[in-house]
Amino acid sequence: MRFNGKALVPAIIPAMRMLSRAFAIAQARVSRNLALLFLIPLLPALAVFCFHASRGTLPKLVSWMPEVSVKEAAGWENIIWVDARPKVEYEQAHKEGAIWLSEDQWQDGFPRLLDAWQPGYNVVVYCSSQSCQTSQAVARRVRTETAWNHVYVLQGGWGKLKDASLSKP
Amino acid sequence: MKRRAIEILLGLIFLVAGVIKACDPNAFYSTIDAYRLLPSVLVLGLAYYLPYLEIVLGLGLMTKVMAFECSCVMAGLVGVFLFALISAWLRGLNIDCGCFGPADSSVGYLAPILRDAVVGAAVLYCIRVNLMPEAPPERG
Repeated sequence: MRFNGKALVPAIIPAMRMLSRAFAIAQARVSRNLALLFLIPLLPALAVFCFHASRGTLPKLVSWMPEVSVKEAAGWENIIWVDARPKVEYEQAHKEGAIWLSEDQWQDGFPRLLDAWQPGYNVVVYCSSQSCQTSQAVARRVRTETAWNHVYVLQGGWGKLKDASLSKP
Repeated sequence: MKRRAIEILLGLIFLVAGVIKACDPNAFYSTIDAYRLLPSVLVLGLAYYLPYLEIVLGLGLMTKVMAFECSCVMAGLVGVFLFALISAWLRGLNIDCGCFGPADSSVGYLAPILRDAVVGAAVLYCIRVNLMPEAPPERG
């Protein structure tokens, strides 16, 4: 008996159609389920986000480095203090052991900071006062260049530090 | 039986990881941000969304609801986690894995990468078994 391929064509075409239809149905079902899977977590996530937003407890974006109060910092053991004030003010008085770091003269103090840092150390940057943004800029640059996790800005700056008698002129 | 045990264990891993992260979005934000792969706004969104996605995937796999789809999304997530870990390693970043939230301070990269690879293998197994129907019990 001789094999006749043409005779199979009427059987293959409906089978292909059925397969493609089954595939389309399966694809539609999986796509719908996938959409559901991605949408369901959105509801609790949005609810918690709105709750935190209303209470003002959303994380600060990276442009705002985390802040630490003088009281909190006093409880830490391993701290590297970074003074981001003008050099004249640093020379008049500064926290004992503080490294002076300025964005304009970065290479003057940055190598000293690299030498002083060890894993587990917290870097706390302070400038003159609460409103001064230099400490934010310096802390951000330290974090960008080193990728250290624990870089903070001191709330209230040098003023608070001096008041708390942690400073040594 | 072995198949269900792996699915439940994997689901539980995702569920626990998601719950830990969902409890402290601020800390999770810092953890993802430290990888320096995405802009801060996206990181903020992920810090709130990802934990609940993990919870839903874990529950889905444990209860066998959309198990195939859950496994596929898990595979994608594990792939992304592995990519993030390896890229951080190659870039010389000194950061915590954060795979199980802020409390997870695994030292070095090798252990978290190996752990993710094992989870990835389990996820691939789940995809495979959910693609094929279970064999009927043998008559004897």
